[in-house]
Amino acid sequence: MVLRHLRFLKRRTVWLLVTFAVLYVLIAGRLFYIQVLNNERYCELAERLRVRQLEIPASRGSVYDRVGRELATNVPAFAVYVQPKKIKDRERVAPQLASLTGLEESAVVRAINTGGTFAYVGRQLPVGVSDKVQEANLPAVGVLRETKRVYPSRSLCAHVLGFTDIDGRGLEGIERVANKQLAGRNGHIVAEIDSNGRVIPETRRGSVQPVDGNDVVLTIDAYLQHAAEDALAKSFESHSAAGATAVVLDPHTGEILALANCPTFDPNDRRGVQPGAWRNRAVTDLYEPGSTLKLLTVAAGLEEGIPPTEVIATCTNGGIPIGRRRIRCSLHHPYMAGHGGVDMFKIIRHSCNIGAASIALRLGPDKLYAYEKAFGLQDQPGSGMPGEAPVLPLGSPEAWPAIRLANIGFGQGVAVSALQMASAYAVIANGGNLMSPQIIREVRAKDGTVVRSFSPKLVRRVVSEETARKATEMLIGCVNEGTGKTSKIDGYSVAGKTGSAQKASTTGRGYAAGKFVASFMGFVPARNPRLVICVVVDEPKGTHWGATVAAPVYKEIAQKAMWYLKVPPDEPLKEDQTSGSNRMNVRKVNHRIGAGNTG
Amino acid sequence: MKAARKLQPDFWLLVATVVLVVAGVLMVFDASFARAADRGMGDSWYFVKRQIVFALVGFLGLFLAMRVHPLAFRRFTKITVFVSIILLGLVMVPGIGKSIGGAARWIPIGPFHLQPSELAKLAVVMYLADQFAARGTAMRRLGTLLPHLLVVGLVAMLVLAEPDMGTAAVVIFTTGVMMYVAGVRKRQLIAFALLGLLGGAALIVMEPYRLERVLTFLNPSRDYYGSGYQITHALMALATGGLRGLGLCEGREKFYIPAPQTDMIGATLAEEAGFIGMLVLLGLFILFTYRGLCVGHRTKSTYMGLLAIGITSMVSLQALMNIAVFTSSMPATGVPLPFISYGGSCLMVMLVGVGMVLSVSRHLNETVEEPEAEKYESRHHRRRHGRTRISRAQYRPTAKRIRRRASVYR
Ligand SMILES: [Zn+2]
Repeated sequence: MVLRHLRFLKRRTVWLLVTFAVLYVLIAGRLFYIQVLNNERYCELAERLRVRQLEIPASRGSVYDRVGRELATNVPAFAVYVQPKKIKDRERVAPQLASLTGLEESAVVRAINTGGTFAYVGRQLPVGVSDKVQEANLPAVGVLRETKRVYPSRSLCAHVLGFTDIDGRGLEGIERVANKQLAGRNGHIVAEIDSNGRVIPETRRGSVQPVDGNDVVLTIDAYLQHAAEDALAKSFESHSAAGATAVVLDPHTGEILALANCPTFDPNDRRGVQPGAWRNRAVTDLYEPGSTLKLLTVAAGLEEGIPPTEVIATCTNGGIPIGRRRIRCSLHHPYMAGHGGVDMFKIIRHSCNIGAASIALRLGPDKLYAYEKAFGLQDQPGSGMPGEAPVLPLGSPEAWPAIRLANIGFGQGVAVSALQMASAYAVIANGGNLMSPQIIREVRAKDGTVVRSFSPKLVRRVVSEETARKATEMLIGCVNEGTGKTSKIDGYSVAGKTGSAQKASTTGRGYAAGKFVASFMGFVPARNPRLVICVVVDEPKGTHWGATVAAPVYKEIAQKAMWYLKVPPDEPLKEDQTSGSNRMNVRKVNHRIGAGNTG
Repeated sequence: MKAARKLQPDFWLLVATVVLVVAGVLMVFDASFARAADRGMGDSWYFVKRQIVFALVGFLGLFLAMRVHPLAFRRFTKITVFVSIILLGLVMVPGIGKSIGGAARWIPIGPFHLQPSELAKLAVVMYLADQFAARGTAMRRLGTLLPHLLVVGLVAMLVLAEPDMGTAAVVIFTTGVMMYVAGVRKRQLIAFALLGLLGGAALIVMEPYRLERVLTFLNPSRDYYGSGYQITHALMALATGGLRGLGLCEGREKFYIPAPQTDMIGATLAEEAGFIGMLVLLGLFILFTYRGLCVGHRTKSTYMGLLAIGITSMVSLQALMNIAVFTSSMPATGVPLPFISYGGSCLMVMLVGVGMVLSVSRHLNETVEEPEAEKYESRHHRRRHGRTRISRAQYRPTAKRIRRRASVYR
C-alpha cells in the first residue's frame, strides 16, 4: 500500500484546489475590473477606431452643349489604397499589387513606404482592376468607389470646358467657374468599419444623402464648335502658327456658339500637355487688332456725321506726315502708287491706313476714345469664362499725341482679345447694340428642372441702326471687291474685314520683324446676320495676310454653319458642286461628334 | 481478489466538458462566420464544420478512453512520450513540418494539421503520473527526481524551439503542479520555480519579439499597429461587452482581431455575453477543475490520482493562461482556450484526456500496487518505526497483471 504517498497527494490536492479557486477569483476580478468598473476608456477607443463617417460623393453635374450633346460627364471608377502600417510583408505585397493593378511596382512601393495609416496606390482605375484586387483579398489593401470625369468628345471644346483635378474639383474653364453648381454636396454615412475599412453589416447609425451637382448647359453648339476647331486647326498647322483662335457668336444674343483655340489638348489625359495649350487664348490673350479695328473707327465717323462717300484723304505711296513720323499704307497691286482719294467705303474695302488715320484725326482723341470704350474694348467682356485678360488701358485721351490718335485709328497701339473683337463686330451685325458675350445658357438640376437660366444681356447701344447698316455695306464691299475676297461664299452675302498686324516686339519698343497676327472677322449672311465669326492666327509662317491665313478659316466655318443652320441663300448660287461637297464634309463631322458622345 | 465493481463516470465533469465543447462550437461559428468567407475559403461555415468534426472525433476518443481501464493507458506511457518527441522533431524538418506565421508547429495530414505539441502535453502528464506513482516518496530525493525533469525539459525545449512558448509554459506549469501533488519537497519546488523563472526571463531577453510582447503587456497601446494590436482590440471587446454583453453575434471586435476563432475567442465571448457570460465560462471551468481534482482526490491509487489531477490541472491552467492573456494580465503567449478555441489537435487531445479522467472516476475504488514505491516507503518506515513490509513482485505492466493486481480497497 502506498499510504504515505497517497496522503501527500490528497492533502496537496486540497491546496491545489484552493490555489485554483484563488486564481479563478483573481481572473474574475480582473474581468470585472476591465468589463464593468473601468470600461470607459477602451469603450471610447473602440468607438473612435470603429465608428467612421464615410463620405458618399455627390455625382458631379454634366456639361451639355446648347442642344443637349454631352460634353463632360462621369463614369464610375475605383481607387486602390493600402494601409502601410498594417503591412508586414512588403516584399510580397508590392509585386502582387503591382501586377493586379497594372501599375509600376515602384509606385506601389512608394505608397507602402509612406508608412502612414492610408495611402493611395492608384486612382481612377477601371472596374476590372478593382474586381481583381478585391478577389485577391490582400491584407491591408482596399478599394474605394469614386468617379472619373470624362470628356466624351476628347479635345472638343477643351478650353471652354477646362478640367478637374483627380478629386473632381474644377481647375480650369467652366469646370472651375461653375464648380459650385457642378459639384453638388457630398453626403455621408456614419457606420462601424472593420479592420479593412469596410462597413460592418447593420451598423449604420445615420446618413445624409448626397445632393448631386447640377448640369450646366453651354451656349456652345458642338457642331459649330467642331467645324471651328477643324477649320482653325488646318490653318494653324499649314502655317505653323504659334497660336490661333476662332470665336463664333450669335450677334443678337451675344451667345458664344463656338470658341476654338490652337494648340489644344485632351482634358481626359493631360499628361505631357504643354501648359500653353491649356490657355483659352480667345479671352486670355490680347493682341493688336490692326486693320480690323478700322471698322470701328469708320463706324464712329459715320455716327458722328461724316458722310460715307466724302473723300476723306488722298493716299499716296509716300504716306502722310504726322508730327515727325510718317504713316503709310501697305500697298500692292493695283494700288502700288497709293489708294488715291479714299472715302469710307474705300477705306474698308482696301484697308487704307491713311484714310482711317484721317477719320481718327477728324474725330479727335476724346470721341475716338469714347467709341473704343463704347464698343467694349476697354472693359473685360464678362463672358463667364475664367482668365479674361485685364484690359490694357489706352491712357487718358487728352495726353495722346497726334501720332497715337492716328495709330489707334487703324488699329495700332491697341490691345484686345478675340472675344472683345467678336463682340464689337456683333454690334455692327445686330444693328448697333453691344451684347455681353455669354457662355452658360442655363443650369439644370439632375431631374431636368431649370435652376438658373441666363438671358441675353444688352450692355449699351453703341451706334445707330443706320450707321450699322452702312458699315455692313462697307464690309460687304471688302469681301466682294476688296482685301476679303478669299472669304466669299457661294450663295450668301458675306461681311468681313481683314487684318494683318505686325506684333509688338517683346522688348516693348517698336515692332518685331516678321511676326504678324493675321485675322479676319465679319458676319454672315451680311444683310441678315446669324453669326459673327472672328478668326485670329498668331505668328503664321510664310504668309501673314489675314486674307490668306484667316479668311479661309472664316469661310469654312461660315459655309458649314450656313448649311447646318439651314440658312436660306440670299444670293444666287453659282456652282452646285461646292455645296454638294460641303454636305459630304458636314455629314462626316456630324458622325464624329456622334461617335464621341457614346464614349 | 475480487474484480472491481465499476462506478459511473463523474457526471458533472462530463456535463462541464460537453457544455464547454458545445459553447465552443457556437463561439467558433460566431467568431469566424463573418470573415471565414473572405479568408479565401469562400465558405462561411468552414471553421464550424471542421470544429464539429473535431468535436465528434474527440468525443469518440473520450468515450473510448472512458471505457478503458486507466492502467491500460499506463502501458502506452513510454510509446506516447516517444512518439511525441519524434513528432516534435519532425515538425522542424522542412518538407514535413508546416510553418504558419513564422512558427513551425504543424504536420499537415490531408486537409488537417496535426499539432504534436498538444499530444506532448498529454504525454508529459501520463509520463509524470506513471513515474511519480512508481517512485512514490522516493521523488522527494533530488537524485530520483532529476532524470524525469530532464525528460520533461527535453519536451519543453522541443516545443519552445517551434517556437511555442505558451504550450511550453503549460508543460512546465503542469509539471510543477504534478511535482507538488506528488509530494516533492517544498524547497525543491521553490528551486524548480526559480529555475523556471530564470529560464523564462532568459528566453524573453534573448528574443526581441518576446521582450516586445512583455512591454506591450505593460502598456497595450504602446504599439497599436504591431504587437499591441490584438491585445488592444481584445481589451476593447471586453470593455464594450460590459456587464451584459452586446448579445450573441453582435460583437464588433471580431472584425479586427486576427483569426478571432482561435486564441482570442474568449474576447468575442466577453464582448457578446458580457461579464455575466464570462462568469458562466469561469464557472464551467471551476466546475471542471473541482470535479477533476475531486476524482484525483478520491482515488485510492497514486497513478490514477496523479493522472486525473495532471490532466485537470493542464486544462485548467491553460484556461487561466488564455483568459489572463486577453485580459492583459500576463504577456501574450498563444494558448488556445480549452474546448472553446478552434483547433482540432487541441480539442481532440483534451477530450481524450477528459476521457482518461472519467475512466479514473469509474475505478475510484481500485488500488494499484506500486512495488518500487512501496519498497522505498517500507524501508523508510522501517527506519522510522522499526516495522517491516514485504514488497511484492516487480511491477510489470501487462494487461493481465494490471487486472489481477487491481483489488477493492477497504
Ligand atoms: Zn491707303
